[in-house]
Amino acid sequence: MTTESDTKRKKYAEVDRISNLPDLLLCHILSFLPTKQSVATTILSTRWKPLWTMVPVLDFEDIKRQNQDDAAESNDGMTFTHFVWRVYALRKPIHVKKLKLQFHNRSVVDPIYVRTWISYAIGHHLEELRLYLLGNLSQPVELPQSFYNSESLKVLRLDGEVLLNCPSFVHFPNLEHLFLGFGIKYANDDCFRRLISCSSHLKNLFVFSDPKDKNVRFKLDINAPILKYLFLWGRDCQDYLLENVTNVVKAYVYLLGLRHNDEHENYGHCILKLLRAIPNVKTLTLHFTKGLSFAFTYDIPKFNNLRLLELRVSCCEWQLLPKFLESAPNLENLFLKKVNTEGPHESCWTEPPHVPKCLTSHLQSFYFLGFRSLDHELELVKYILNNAKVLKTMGIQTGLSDFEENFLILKKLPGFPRCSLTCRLEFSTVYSPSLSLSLTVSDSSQPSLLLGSSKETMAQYPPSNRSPDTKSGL
Amino acid sequence: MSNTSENPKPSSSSAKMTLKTSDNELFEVEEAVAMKFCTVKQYFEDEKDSDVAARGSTTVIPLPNVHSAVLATLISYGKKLPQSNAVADNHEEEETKKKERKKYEQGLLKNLMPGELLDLISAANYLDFKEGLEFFNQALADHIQNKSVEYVRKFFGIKNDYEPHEEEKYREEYAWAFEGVDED
Repeated sequence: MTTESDTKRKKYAEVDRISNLPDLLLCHILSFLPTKQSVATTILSTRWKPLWTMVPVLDFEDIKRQNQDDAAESNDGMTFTHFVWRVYALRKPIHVKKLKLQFHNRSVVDPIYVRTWISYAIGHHLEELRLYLLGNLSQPVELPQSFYNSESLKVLRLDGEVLLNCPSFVHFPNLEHLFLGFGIKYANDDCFRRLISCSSHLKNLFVFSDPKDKNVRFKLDINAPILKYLFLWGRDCQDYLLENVTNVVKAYVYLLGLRHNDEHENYGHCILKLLRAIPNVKTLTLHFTKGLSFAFTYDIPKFNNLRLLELRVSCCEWQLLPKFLESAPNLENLFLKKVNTEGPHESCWTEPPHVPKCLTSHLQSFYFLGFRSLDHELELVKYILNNAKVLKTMGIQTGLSDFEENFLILKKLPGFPRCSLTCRLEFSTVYSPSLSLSLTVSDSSQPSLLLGSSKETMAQYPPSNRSPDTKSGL
Repeated sequence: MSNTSENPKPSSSSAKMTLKTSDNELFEVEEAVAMKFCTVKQYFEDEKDSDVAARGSTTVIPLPNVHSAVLATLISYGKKLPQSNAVADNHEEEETKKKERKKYEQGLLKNLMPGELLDLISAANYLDFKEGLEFFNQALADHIQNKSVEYVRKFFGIKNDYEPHEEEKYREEYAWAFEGVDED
């Protein structure tokens, strides 16, 4: 085992102080461990023997550890299930605050057992339920009917082989956090709507769907007046109907236009409709596919509270960008992430007719990721630099690996005229994120260049004696 | 953080409270942070009820079970938590604060000996400092995450007082619990 000279070990305790802590405190510590391990503490000493039975958390993970015996493989499925049953049978009949079940395709577990395990927890004042059921169940686990009237449930996270079969009466008076991951199955069309609308205290909603999942074809209605955080990933945008969600302050939307590949307008309209439902959003991340820009020939809603906007573009159709700038007068932080650069470059950046209000009075930071120094990209960067009066930081991160190319961009950037004298330029490449460069413009408009990696100290190069509006190299 | 003045100045901007540790050191703490220690909050509220005139004067709250070094750490942790009365920050400030807190937490745990961690846990328990308990108990659990029983015994200095045949019996009954732990 260990030797005294093993230097990486911390000093061992000479006096056993931990055993003197009160039961409740020790049980709280054990609640952070998987049940497998908290049960093992029973043999630490006789003082520890009963503690695991009083831990209000059940956390079971059926996973193969690195040094587990392969020979035991064939018996292991039974052993895991046996273990879970023993724990249930021997624990004290106290609350189960949290139940977590994770199956990693290791052993075969009877879904009816899983239902029973969940039922027990529901009947013991369950507050948090997390199921990761990935593989090796003969059929999806259908949640027990008692689940749908759980008064105490606050957090629900479901991933994998779970079947939701909502009865007509669903009641989650305390559910605040709902996470529906990949693979969840709904028994009927109305399930999802019932789930959401019967959770009157819902604050956070995450819905992940596999775009290739052909099973789900019905609408997902979201009616949640208290909702603050909305995260939608991966389905056709037309599947969603948002109503009564005007309190959402943070939203992440990545939805596709699967069904109307040729009708970009429909897709655009659809996203627009979704956005209209969340006018008070403060932080918005939009990841959209080709064709969204068509929507923005129409009115886009005003986002008076929008402070941070993150746009992930798959191509360079940027007609929407000026519209967004115009509709978000109080925008403070803008992140633009380019994923690839296919598509007609001509329809890229066009200047808005008037300088948007956010540029003149609010925009403090602008980050461009995936920069490749294409013409339209340079135009956008120049436009922002030229008009953003209170800009503090402009960050450019290139998607280029070649040092020469990166250096060329770096030489060009400081030459662009800038409106805000206190603007700092940050430059990095995605291929070497620790290398970052910072450029500041001093009051005398003489740019000075600071070079260095984040780990080394910044070394100041001799200041160049050119004015900001020449474009010669350093 | 340690303030040994006997008469702290009454602050007009944010109310402060004085806490006295077991080794007679005085700490002046902002009310918002001190209120995260529910024991202190309770004491303060009891004092308020009993003597209205005492409000605003220099009430010193005794904490006979907490040593100054420990209280200093708990106060500095409490300061890094999001304050309930804070004005809503913009996104950048929020992100910066989060990063700072993570860095602080990592730094704090890196140099902490198990004995000191236990001191912090005991004190946080006495003070009924919920966020502190969550953080430090999680940290303690992380120390023994997936470690063998022998390791845990050694780590905490726990003396095994089981008869060998008893221990063997439990090892058999809960065999699955002892599989696949990290090597010592």
